[in-house]
Amino acid sequence: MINKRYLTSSFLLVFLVSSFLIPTVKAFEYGGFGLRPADLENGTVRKSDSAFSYDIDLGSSKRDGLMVINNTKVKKTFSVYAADSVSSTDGGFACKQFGENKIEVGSWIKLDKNEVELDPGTNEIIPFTISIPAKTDSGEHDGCFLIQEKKDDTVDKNNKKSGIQLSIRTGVRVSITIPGDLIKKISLGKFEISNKQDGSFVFNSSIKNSGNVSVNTDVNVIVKNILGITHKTVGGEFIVLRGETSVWNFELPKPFWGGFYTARLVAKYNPNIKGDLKDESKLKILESEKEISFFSFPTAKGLMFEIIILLFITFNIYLLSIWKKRQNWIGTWKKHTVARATNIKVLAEKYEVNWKLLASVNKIKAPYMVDSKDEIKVPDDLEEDYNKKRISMINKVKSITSPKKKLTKKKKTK
Amino acid sequence: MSKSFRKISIPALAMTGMVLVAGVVLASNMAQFTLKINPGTLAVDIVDGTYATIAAPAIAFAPVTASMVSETSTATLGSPTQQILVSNPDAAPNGWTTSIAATAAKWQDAGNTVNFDYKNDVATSGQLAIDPSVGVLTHGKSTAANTGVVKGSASNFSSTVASITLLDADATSAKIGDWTLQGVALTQTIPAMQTAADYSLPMTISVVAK
Repeated sequence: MINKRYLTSSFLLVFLVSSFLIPTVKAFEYGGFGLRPADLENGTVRKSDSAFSYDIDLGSSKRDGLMVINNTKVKKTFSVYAADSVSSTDGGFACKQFGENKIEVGSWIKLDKNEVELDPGTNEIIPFTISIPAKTDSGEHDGCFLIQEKKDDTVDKNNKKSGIQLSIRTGVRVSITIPGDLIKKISLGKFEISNKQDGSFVFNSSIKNSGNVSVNTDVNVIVKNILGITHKTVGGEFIVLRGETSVWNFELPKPFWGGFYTARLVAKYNPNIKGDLKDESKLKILESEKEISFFSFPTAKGLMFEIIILLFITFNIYLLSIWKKRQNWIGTWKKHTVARATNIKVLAEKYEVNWKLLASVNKIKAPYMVDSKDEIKVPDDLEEDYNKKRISMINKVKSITSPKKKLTKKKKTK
Repeated sequence: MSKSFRKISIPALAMTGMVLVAGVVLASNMAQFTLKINPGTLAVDIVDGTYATIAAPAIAFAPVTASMVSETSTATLGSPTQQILVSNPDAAPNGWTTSIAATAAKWQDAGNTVNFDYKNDVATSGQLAIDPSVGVLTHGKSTAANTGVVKGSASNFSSTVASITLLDADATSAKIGDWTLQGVALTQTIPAMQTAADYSLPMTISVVAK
């Protein structure tokens, strides 16, 4: 008889094995439209490059390709064009608008097509030619390829509302280096601090590129606390374009603990023309001469913690002072020879001291008994008091008894 | 047949049968699975809460009454229903910059009769300030971290500032990921005695692979 359990397990095994044999496909879907450097010969995207970078001689030209991609779900018509680059705030890389004058790279590039219609999920390679003028500066020149959806202007005009009308575009950087005397040099510019209403700080920092190639720069503001320990480093890696001054507003959130801080601007770059930031041993470090000192109030939570810590410290100092006083007092205790065996509690009562303290000072352990002739430390003042009391008591007794003696003596003399 | 032999033989028979069937299929008509993955691209978009593209995104400023002194009007770029989405499917390993710039010289009324500035060096003569630092940056459908992606700082357009950075990602940012930005503060200073009208300014948000 075949057991039901074995039948079930057999089918389960078959199901599990077959499920491994079924091919599964998983994909991450990203939409949008954009551009990628293309391989003209193979008609594919150039995976090794995310932007265009060329070394082209004066008066020479270069032929290459640009892949226009439509990964949206609708058929679109795109306008594809080249433009000069422009510095954006915070050291960002940006491109001039379609309607703006092309003076450099934007004017050197000629695309075979400036308009492309693409079905959803398709792409097309547009060849282009870069022609370097016979007379232009050596060094690096930056520009962009851009793609923007072409919309019906009449529809746009009819739908015109007040406010800002937004459109979007995607671009790829084009970097052309013309051989010659290449200079890679940056210098630190302004370094100032300002407060924001929420208590945070803004470090307005700038770096000037006085060379003729763009410089990948690691720019940071290092903030240290009063102990010289780095509290926070704000900044990042930025491209400073040739001849440009890049300005950053690095934000420092309100320090949790507050207090006095110092800040310094530090920039690192590789002075070798083809060198990058990865080669740390060859990096040149620029540090601002000016060090900014500033004070920050703590955050509300920080202040609360600080009050708690302050109270804790005060309480501990108070306990410490009490402990120190007691230690000093214990230091004044004198040795006393016990007359007869007794319990420590009895002695403690006698010397008006806590029996545990007396036991602890004299290292007496349970059952807390002391033998006769044992030497123990007892409070000196109380010992004195005790002795004084005893002496006064004796004197009193004497004073009571001695007149009688005198009297008796007198009587005797009489 | 012993009991233990039967215990082993049932799964074994089932397995053999399945392999045989699979073998027949492979021998006679091997299925060709083809899958084309289109190259991904760095992209920026204005999307709603479900990540659907908004056809005509716009930002409305708070209305201002004509005045003898300069006034300010505020607006917000990016909201849960109109958020900026930047997606990078390993198409910009050196990083990228998302910036905003105007594509017209001035704020203009519908009839092109009156206008005012957005990039005057004197704020009271017409200046548009943008503060991305107060915005909320988070990942989109992906779970990419914000490491290496920073919001731009508060800046205003001027004769020397034509483009304001909204987001900047360096080489340390996630190679594959998408990020959304909401709540960027916009403040336009309107010159004194500006003619009452409905003004508009076309602007472009760009993302560029570095």
